[in-house]
Amino acid sequence: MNHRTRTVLAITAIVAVLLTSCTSSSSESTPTPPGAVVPRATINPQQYPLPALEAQATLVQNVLQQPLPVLLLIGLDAPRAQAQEIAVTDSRFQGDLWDASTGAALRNEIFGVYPMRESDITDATAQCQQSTCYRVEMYNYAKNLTTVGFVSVTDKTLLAVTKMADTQPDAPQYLVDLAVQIASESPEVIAALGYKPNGDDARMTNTKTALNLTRCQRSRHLCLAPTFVDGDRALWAIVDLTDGVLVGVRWTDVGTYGPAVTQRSLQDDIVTQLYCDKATALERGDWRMNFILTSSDGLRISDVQYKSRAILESAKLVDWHVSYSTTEAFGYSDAVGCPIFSQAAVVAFQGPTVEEIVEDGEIVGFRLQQEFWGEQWPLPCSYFYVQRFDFYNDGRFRVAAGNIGRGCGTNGTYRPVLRLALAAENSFATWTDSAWQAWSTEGWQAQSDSEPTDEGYQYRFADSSGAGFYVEPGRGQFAGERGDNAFIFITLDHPDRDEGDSDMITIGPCCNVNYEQGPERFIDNEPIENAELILWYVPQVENDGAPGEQYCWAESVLDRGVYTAKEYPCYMGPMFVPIQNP
Amino acid sequence: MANKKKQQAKQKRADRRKWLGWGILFALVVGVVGYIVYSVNTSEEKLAQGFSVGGVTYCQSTPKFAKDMGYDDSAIMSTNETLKGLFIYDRPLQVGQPLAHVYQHPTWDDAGYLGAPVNDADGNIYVAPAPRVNLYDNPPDQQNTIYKVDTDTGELAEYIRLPFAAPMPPENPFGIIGLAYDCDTNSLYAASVYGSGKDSEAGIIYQVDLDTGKVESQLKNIDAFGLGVFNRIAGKRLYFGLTRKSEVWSVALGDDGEIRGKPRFEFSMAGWGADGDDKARRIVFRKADEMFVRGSAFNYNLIAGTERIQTDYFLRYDPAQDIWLREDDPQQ
Repeated sequence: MNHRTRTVLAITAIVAVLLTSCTSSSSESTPTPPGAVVPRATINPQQYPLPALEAQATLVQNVLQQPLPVLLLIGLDAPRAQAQEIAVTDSRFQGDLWDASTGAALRNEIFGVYPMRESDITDATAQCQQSTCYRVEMYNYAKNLTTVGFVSVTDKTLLAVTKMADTQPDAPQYLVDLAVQIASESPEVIAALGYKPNGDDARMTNTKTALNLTRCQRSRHLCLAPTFVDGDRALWAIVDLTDGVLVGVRWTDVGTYGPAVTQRSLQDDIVTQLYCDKATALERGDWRMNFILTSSDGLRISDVQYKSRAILESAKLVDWHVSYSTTEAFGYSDAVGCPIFSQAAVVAFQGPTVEEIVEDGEIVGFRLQQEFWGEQWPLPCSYFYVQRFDFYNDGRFRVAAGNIGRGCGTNGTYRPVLRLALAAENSFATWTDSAWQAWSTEGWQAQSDSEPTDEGYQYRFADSSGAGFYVEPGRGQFAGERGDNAFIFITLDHPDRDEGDSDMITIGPCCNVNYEQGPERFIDNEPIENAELILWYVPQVENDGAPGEQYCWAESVLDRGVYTAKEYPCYMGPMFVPIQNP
Repeated sequence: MANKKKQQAKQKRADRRKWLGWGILFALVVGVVGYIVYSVNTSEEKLAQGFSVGGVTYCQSTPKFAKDMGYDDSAIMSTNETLKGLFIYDRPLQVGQPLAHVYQHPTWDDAGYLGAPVNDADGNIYVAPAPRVNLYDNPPDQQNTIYKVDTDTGELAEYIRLPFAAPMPPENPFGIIGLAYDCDTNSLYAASVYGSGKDSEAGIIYQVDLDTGKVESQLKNIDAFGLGVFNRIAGKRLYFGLTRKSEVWSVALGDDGEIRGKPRFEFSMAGWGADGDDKARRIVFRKADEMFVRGSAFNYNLIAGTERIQTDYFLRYDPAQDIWLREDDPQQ
């Protein structure tokens, strides 16, 4: 073999290795699903799927009826049991057992009774150097609060009490086991692993280190993270033990040092990867579309087709303008969107959901829904917004925005700015004096400026053949709603000018009470007959917090010993009804 | 003929050796010069004479216009969540007392909502835009501009537009998010994340010389916000909180305030506080050995002040080890 031959062979070998490595790296780059976020749902104790969870719910319910609403730790030796009893019967230890305003019992539980540590010795507990002392740790689920009592069993005295807000003590073993069981039975865990794990598969998390590594920052609930190792990956399953539900699952690489998986990081990572970084195709019945979560315009649907006919180029929620009438110019312009790297202030903690619309027991369509939360909701000045896209089997569709309070007061007016880009060329008309009057140029109108037809149709988009949609604004005819009182704006969709096609920064101020909500800036009297059109739809809905009249509102109420939100939602938006026999 | 060829070959070898020698000498010179330059730029200097160990904000003073209006040195220059711009008021005597003697100059809301103000030795105030829940009052093109309130007139005007590495992407609504002042060198430090995106860290920490109004040095490709200068016996350092990690880092400063060398890791805040993912939003040195860090979540999205949970942490400097130790950990 001469030198040249050896060189050629060497180069060939190197190229082959490179090609092989390229091939293998491309096959390795097949994306692994990052995990899943479980949509929030109201907990129904009647539907607890696990016997252990059901038993615990019953136990908690019984304890809440007791004069001293504290679930005690059982199976303790005599000195520890005595320490527990001394602590819970002392009024200094009982400071947070009941709701301060109503006196209702809160959910409290002793998590541990431990010998005093050297570091626990203070002036108040100095005598423990000569006597037998224990620290009794109690967790308050409602307040996410840890109370520690330092007890001298020798002197039968509670020496000192400390409270630590937003802190959880180490969970007792039965709660650890319960967390594993909830995780192991969860469809999301089974789907991620590809099999149903038994409890032994979970790397348990009741060590101090592991407990410190997960938190439920948004719900402020007690959470544990059973971890299932699968080869070189580990599946974190975050379990909310306050509600007894799985928060979500997240894959990580074993052996890689990184930040802990927490409720917030799990939700943010998965929502971003699955819904912010890419569009998702959705096909249901005769409807087809794509959707994506935007930086500041909420969930954007695009390329919407019904029976292969283009209906909408896109639809989204540009802004929420919230004003309060008691203080001039006080309010907020909120954007909704992705949870990280976005211009949104009220963000998605989970992806969109799709559910059937059932009327009179019959499936008549489906709903694509996306929710956005403020971190502190339902506390005052925090917000919860919803987008709904309802698609019906008969070709109708509705684009709606919803608010579930709570905001900064009961004198608020919510003005969402909806933007709908209609597909193909249309002309726009208003029902005026018992006839459809076509608009020749861009413009705006208040809903009260015209009257609807007997069927409730107030506006019409129609192409040159007469095909298109009637538009039915909310007038209180939709169940549970009080009407939209909307402003509508019709503008030309310019192919060469971005008037809101891409993500929009805040389009208008919080507190204008007239039509000046932002879309008016795109009105410049251009002709709009048989043209590609944009409908801007800005409802105006007042909230109400009066008992029995609540609307666009939320309250924090006690439910089974923990604070939960009672929701009074309001929805607003136009229904589009196909023009029959044009 | 053969001798001539031999002589030529010999000459060639001699030339090669000569060039090789020159090459080695040149490489040595370049190496030595490079090492010296690198050492000067990265090595820490002993603290210069006249500089004291500890924080460096001792000279900050109340604006002259405020004193003329009857405010004393305890008056508070503030930017908050609900009022747009800057305003001044008397320090309340008790917590919860309504604000008194509140004043806002007509120009103080020209730059929209603002971040925390920083005073210099003459009482001039420096501020940067800080969007709250939207960009309506804080347009993106203003986000990398420092504004100055003149100590004599009280007027707010643009002071300097900082250069940026990349245009502002729609996914990041922030620009300047940290300011700090060093009395020793009359330097203003600004941390900006202007142009940073989810997949690209393009932030810059700037040193602005307030004598010249020019950017004198920069630390590039670092997204940071909480800033503070601290004098150690071993020299000045600028401490800063990262925006992408729960970590505090620092970088050496020269006696002229210039940023020198590579940044170094100081401590991690992972697991601190109720949330466990706080970032160092604010860093203040209070006494000769005390660091105050205000932590909160930061995800490059807007957030209402009512939604933001902040936790304060205290650390003490251990000069023997040149490290900061947390003092307020309830778990310890």
